Amino acid sequence: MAKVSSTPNNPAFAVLNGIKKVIRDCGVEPGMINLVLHGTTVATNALLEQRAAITALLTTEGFRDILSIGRQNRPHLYDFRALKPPPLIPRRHTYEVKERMLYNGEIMTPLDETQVAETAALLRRKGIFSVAVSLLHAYKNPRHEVRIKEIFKIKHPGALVTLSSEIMPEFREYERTCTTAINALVRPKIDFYLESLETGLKESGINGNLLVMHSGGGVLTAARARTESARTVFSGPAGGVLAGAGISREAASGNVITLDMGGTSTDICLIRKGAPGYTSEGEIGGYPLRLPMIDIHTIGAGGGSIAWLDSGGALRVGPSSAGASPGPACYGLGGTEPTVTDANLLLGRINRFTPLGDKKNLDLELAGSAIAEKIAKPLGIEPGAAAKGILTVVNANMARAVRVASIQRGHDLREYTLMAFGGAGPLHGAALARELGMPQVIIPRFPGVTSALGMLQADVRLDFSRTYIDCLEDVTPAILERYYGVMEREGKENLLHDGFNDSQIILNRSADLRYAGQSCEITLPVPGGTLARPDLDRVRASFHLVHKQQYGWGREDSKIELVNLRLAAVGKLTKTFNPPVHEGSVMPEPSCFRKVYFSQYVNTPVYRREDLAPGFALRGPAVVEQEDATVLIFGGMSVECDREGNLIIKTEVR
Amino acid sequence: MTRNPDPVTLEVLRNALQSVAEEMGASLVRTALSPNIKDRRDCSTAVYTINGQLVAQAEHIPLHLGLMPAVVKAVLKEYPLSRMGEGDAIIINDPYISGSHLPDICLISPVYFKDRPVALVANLAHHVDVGGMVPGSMSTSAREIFQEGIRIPPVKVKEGGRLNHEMLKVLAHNVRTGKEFYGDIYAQLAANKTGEKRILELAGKYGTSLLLEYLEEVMDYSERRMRSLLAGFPPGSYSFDDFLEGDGITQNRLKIKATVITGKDEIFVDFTGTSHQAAGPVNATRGVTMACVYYALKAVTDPELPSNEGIIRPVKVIVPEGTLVNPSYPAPVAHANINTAQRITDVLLGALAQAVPHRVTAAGTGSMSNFTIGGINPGTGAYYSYVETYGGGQGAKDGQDGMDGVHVNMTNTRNTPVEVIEMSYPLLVRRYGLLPDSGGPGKFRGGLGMVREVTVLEEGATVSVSTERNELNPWGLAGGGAGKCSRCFLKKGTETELLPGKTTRTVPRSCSVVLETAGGGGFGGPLEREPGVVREDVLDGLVSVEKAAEEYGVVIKPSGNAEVDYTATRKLRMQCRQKKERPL
Repeated sequence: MAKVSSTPNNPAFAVLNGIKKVIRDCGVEPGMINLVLHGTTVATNALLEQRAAITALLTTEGFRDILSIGRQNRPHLYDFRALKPPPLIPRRHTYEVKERMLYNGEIMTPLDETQVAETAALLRRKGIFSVAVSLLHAYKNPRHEVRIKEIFKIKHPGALVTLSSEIMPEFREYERTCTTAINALVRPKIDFYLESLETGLKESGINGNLLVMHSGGGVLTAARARTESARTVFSGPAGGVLAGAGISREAASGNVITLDMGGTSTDICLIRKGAPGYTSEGEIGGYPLRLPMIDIHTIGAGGGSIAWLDSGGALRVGPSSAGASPGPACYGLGGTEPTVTDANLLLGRINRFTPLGDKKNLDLELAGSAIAEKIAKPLGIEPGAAAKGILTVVNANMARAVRVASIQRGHDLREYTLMAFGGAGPLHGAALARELGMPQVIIPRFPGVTSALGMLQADVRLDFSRTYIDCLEDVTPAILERYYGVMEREGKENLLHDGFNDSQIILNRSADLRYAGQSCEITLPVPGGTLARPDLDRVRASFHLVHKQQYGWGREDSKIELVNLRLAAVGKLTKTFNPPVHEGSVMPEPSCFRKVYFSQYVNTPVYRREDLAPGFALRGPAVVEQEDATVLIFGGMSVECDREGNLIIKTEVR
Repeated sequence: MTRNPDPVTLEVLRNALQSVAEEMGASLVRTALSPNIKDRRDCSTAVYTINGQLVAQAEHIPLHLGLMPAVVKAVLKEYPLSRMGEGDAIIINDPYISGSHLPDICLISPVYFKDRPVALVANLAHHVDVGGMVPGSMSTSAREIFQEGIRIPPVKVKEGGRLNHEMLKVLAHNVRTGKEFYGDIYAQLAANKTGEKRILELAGKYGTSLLLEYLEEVMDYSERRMRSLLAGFPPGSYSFDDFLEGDGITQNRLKIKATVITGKDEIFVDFTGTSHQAAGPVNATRGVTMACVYYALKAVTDPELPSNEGIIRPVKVIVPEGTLVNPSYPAPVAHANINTAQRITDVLLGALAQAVPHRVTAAGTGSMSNFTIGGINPGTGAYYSYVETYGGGQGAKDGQDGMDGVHVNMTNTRNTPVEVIEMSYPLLVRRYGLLPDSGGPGKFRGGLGMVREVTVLEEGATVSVSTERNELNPWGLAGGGAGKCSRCFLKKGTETELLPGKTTRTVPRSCSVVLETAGGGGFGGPLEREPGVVREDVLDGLVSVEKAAEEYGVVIKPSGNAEVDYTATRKLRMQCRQKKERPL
């Protein structure tokens, strides 16, 4: 494992430095590396920090304002000043094209090719190289969009053109146009970044494939990521969920809720029977991004979340965060606001002798005075009581978010294990599980890098979709097969081209379905191979069932509508990750004892994680420390170390 | 309020109670049958003290903000807790008690912990149909409430856990969509059950006495926050009035007047001076009017204020009986939420603008602009009905332009995608966009209105439009100009025919209907607007070069880059100022 400083001018250099360092440290020849898996937030940052390339949008005549109007709703019911996010591509860079397709794919007005050629030439003159094309009903008939791309190839050959019918051929023009625009906006940055990374790898003697993590929980080839860049936008937390899915299958009967708690936010994901939930209704910065992605719920609660008193006299925590700079007061970097980390430190839950940068320890006094000044004194209570209050409130906030992701969708938390990781997750996991009535908590071996390790479990996954709207009762299996066939051929060809063989390729069909008249869909698997009527009957039956489970009701007598057909083409990668060898003991000596506050201060044994071998077991209270996290086990709970090195905490021991 | 509640318990229980209301809402939306509830979320759920004081609510539309605090208290007057027992549920929809309109059916259940009543839970949901003279029970021409559907006084629909099937049968017999009615009633009962379960969990976990204490504390908490915000308002008396352009039957203007009196940490709102109630169904029941008051106050104080009894305590409202804002039985009320609620809110913001100009907006598009096209689809032979409400310009604020093309104030429903309209109805959308130059000019510009042009593809379609701000522009503030009025017209070939703001008529095939919604008013003098910002609007085509000069006094060079001619701008702005100072 290696950590290197970032290189903001070209983030690829930092990645290369890190890879070189790891190789050197492990004594591996660069030539021996045949696979580089990479997760990146370059696209996300470009978008959120509005540093994306100047991009033009081509739309159907009469519909220049699709991006400005959006869904005409405002983001906050009562806040006059909470604005809709500005159009992703400004109106001045939006060009109407004379053409019109009808809902059934018929051409009402042919494409004015001369006008397109003029627009292409104009953009070339203006030096705009990134172009999004999203025409009405292009999901049904992409001919005009395809023609526009051809014209650009001649008139503006340097332009990177994204077609809505390629990136997301599904109905609902605002969502499709936004998704297309996001792809066009981040593409130049990703293109440049991955190109430098590939070049750099080659120069370092690494000829292995570069694969990039995407938000669907799989990886794609760098070449594909350079054209479908929007797929990398939500890839950040996906690795952690994959790790959760892997662990759930081994240690938790498949049902896990992952809690990835970092400095500013917490990502929560529900994994049922070993598989995370997917959604194609993601949003970033208020913009819809309708590409399949793991369904992750994020809230503004983390170690850096700031505690404050509001005008009604309630103690609040977050959503504002001290971040990494200035960070919690105890970092001694100038932060004066009391944070969750300060509260944990004050209560002895974190080791004050934790080195931070060039400092030897965390500053207990600064933490104490921040909590005293901002919370305890105004309330007239002891700083310790205030710190305890801060933790109670932040745990309640997270508990509420977990309930939204589980109970509100019809899941029973008693059937789930909480997997807590990220820098702060292991500190809060046990308390949270107890609050929620969850029987068990798993702390993975390396909580701080769980996301990166999770990526090692990823396969190449390519997602395709087509809108096809019809009643499930009326659709003929042959038509569906034809639609799936097209996507399957495309997926397979791509994977074969990427070097997979037939035996490594898995094609998973699914479909978005709803009761006729609804406006939200549920995605369900569809059998592969030759489809027959009984297959569709089974899909229908499972729709009623899943609808009932998720929403509490099903209507056997109602018509079901097919909306979108989806295909995931998966290329299985060989998993070579070996769990670390344990050199610890089953009955290690505590490294020390420390006064830790539970319902009162208790002199608590502190263990080093590396001292624990599989088979280690004890009853709380206890603290387990490791370089990247601290695990807290309450009295009345038990903890043990399993074969893989995970810590399993049972919250209710009789 | 001399006690000091524990700030941690307060925060934890406040959140827990809020999540009880939210989980009830999730349960209701999950289990309801009608699109009104499950897709549009025209429903609210709430937790009350046993005295009917609102403790926590999950409202999905601002209109319910005023209904939920009133309905349970009103019902308890008719049906006291002493006559209720465990496993009971009360049903009610009478607007003259609930304060809403007939389609909003409310279900109230007492919660007992160890035989002791500890709380009430309730929910309100807009049903698809409750009978009356038109499908959907929202006639635009009803003259008394009996034409709007079946009226249910507070009665037990469930007693000791047993449903009153006989009564439900009577009710279902009187609505057009009996199956959905049953489904939605079951969903509403299930939502209360969810609430009850969670309240019992809390009572078990924290103990009854602590729970009861903190039900009060949570309300006191909101009250403290509200009062501390109101205390910052300059004391004074501020009046404002504005008009509705007709009641659906005549086009006579109806006046709405409000006087807002601020002082200490309280606020007083008096609607004396408002027109007598209307013949048509635009009358706003007390509940709708109160919703507008609470909405406006929440928006100008703190949008994050928890909605409960506490924020209402420092607010005193006078709504004279027999007026447009508090009609007397049996006046029709179904349509108050389309236009009247928006105008009441405008009037309140106009009055509050005199006290706290930096916290309000200028007038916005001022209507939910209801647009309906219905007929028989010859392809399928089935009746179709396209219904949508259109947004427009938001009024500008001190320091910020109004939003373009957005729903304002009392509504926030989403639009229907063009692609969905065309695949679902025999309609073709020709144009859907912002209306350049429709935003009121100002240092901060009002938001732009929208235009939608729809061509009817089959014979015999009936078009029905209900919009406002057709004659009276959305006003600006602090020297800001007015937004452009709404407009509706028919296009047949090259002919166009202007239509009134509220109209219903049958149109021939391939005729187009164009609805332009009003823009928002501006804030501050347009001559104060940064020329560079005007240039940005010109570059985006939101303001024309002509209007830049005419309204903002900004001269744009004829080059392609829309450069500002600063010398000419200075000169023009000086001339404009002198012209303004010269008395007419």
